[in-house]
Amino acid sequence: MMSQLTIDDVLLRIAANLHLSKETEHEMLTEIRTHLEEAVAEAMRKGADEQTALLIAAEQFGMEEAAAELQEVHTGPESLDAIALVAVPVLFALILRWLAFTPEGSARDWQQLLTRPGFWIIAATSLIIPGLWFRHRRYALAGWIFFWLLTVIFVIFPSINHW
Amino acid sequence: MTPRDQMRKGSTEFLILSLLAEGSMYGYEISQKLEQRSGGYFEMKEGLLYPALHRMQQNGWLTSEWQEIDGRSRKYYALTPQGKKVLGEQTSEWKTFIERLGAVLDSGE
Repeated sequence: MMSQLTIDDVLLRIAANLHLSKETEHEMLTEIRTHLEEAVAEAMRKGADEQTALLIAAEQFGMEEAAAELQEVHTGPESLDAIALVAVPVLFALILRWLAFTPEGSARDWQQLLTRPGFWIIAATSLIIPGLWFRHRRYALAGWIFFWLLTVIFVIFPSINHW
Repeated sequence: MTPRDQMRKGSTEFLILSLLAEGSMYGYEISQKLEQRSGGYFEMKEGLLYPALHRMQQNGWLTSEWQEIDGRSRKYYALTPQGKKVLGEQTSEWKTFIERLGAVLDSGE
């Protein structure tokens, strides 16, 4: 006897054609699940049994075509997010380094650095800008952690050495 | 691709904008209203509606909001001020297109 098709099976087939971030895929599949559930309910109201209703809903949805177009629509923005996730912390760490070091290469000591408003403005901006940019807050937080890591390695640590 | 498919593809965004001008709607609701109002003329694979909705949201024409209704999570889409502006421009463009096309067809009769 053939096993019965379920909405989860349909979603798995769509997910197999998607290669996006977990969050984006999850949100997309939740939206598609609702669509399929409503389409199945509608087909059953019209007299189809559950299995037939699901087959009709899956056919009307067009799994492969939809997955291919969804992948295409989201690939660009996700690549841009990945670039920004790395580029923004690097940029802010470089600005801090430029603030902390004189053109001759001598550094202010790290304690003095921490008392400068510019230091904290950059630290805050490096969280606020990604927070507004990224759809997922944890990306902004990851970027901020990366920023502090770079800051400790390239700004604070050399300042301690100079001191 | 048939001429109807080509026309449908070229008008999907405009049709979605037109429907959403009436108020926020979720994907399945949009697909059903499109089918009902066009008498099935604009019938397409329903899943192709979502890439269009997501692209329009990326363009800043739509906003979306999740709502829990009858135990189902529905993502409601609504027009942004930019989306309303685009709808106005496209409405005018389509009206001109239909008018000119009609004039060309009439002159050939």
